Amino acid sequence: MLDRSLIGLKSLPGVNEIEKGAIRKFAEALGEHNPIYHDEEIARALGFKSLVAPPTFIMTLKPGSNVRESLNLDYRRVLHGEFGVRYIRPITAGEKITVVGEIKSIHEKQGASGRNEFIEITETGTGEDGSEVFTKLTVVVYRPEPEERK
Amino acid sequence: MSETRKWRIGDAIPYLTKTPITKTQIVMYTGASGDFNPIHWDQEFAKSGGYPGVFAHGMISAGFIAQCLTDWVGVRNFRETNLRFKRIVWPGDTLTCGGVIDGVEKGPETALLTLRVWAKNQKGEEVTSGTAKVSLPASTVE
Repeated sequence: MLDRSLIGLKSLPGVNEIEKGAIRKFAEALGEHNPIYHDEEIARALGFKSLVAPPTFIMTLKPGSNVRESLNLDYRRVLHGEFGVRYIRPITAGEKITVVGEIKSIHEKQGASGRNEFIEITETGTGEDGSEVFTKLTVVVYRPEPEERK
Repeated sequence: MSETRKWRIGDAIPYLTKTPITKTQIVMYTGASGDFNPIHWDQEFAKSGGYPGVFAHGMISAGFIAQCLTDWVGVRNFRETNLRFKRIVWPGDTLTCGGVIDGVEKGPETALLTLRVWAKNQKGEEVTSGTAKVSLPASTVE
């Protein structure tokens, strides 16, 4: 069973520089050909400061320390259960976004293949002016050992 | 006089069919996203985890749903989403994303729309689904 004393553990703040190359590679991996993710001139012509990050790009941003590591997860047992995000505004290249993560809860639930543990981790992204840019929720499903699955 | 049809509750949004997911794409996403869990790129590791082989990150399907929404309303108007990853997406799967408007909150300038959204595989099974919120000019919503 995962260590419940880790509920409430907060990360250090992590500063993420939003890079054009990283945006382009992320968009390419998703097969996203919208020019606002690839062509800075077009993005500017549409009123953005620079290339725009695709909405799910926020999952590449890192807090200053990895709260998930403290759980010592066996990655063979990890599945991504849920993803939630609230956007205040789009993120553009050249910005610095500060991310803080927190383990919000760990609980158990009976699933089809045995008892799963659910880890809820939230992340908040803040712009250089201190205003919130996004809040994100990730639910990680921690499955039973492969040999213990029904 | 021509009248543009307005969006209303029950309307389906324009759907998006993506090209089949390849192992190369999964590796590209691994590098671009920084999610290096070997279950997505190391066949032996995936098998030791009880799976027949490597599979796509759930966030790839989330990225497709986000594309479906932003292709429709633009990136500035995508407000919120909450998605559940219900089925594994395998290399070779073709995902189609779509949604239905099931709520409208109309203000003087903008309308906030709540949707049910999904990504389905080529068998028609929902792999990822949930809700989303987008805003649109009030004049374009019934």
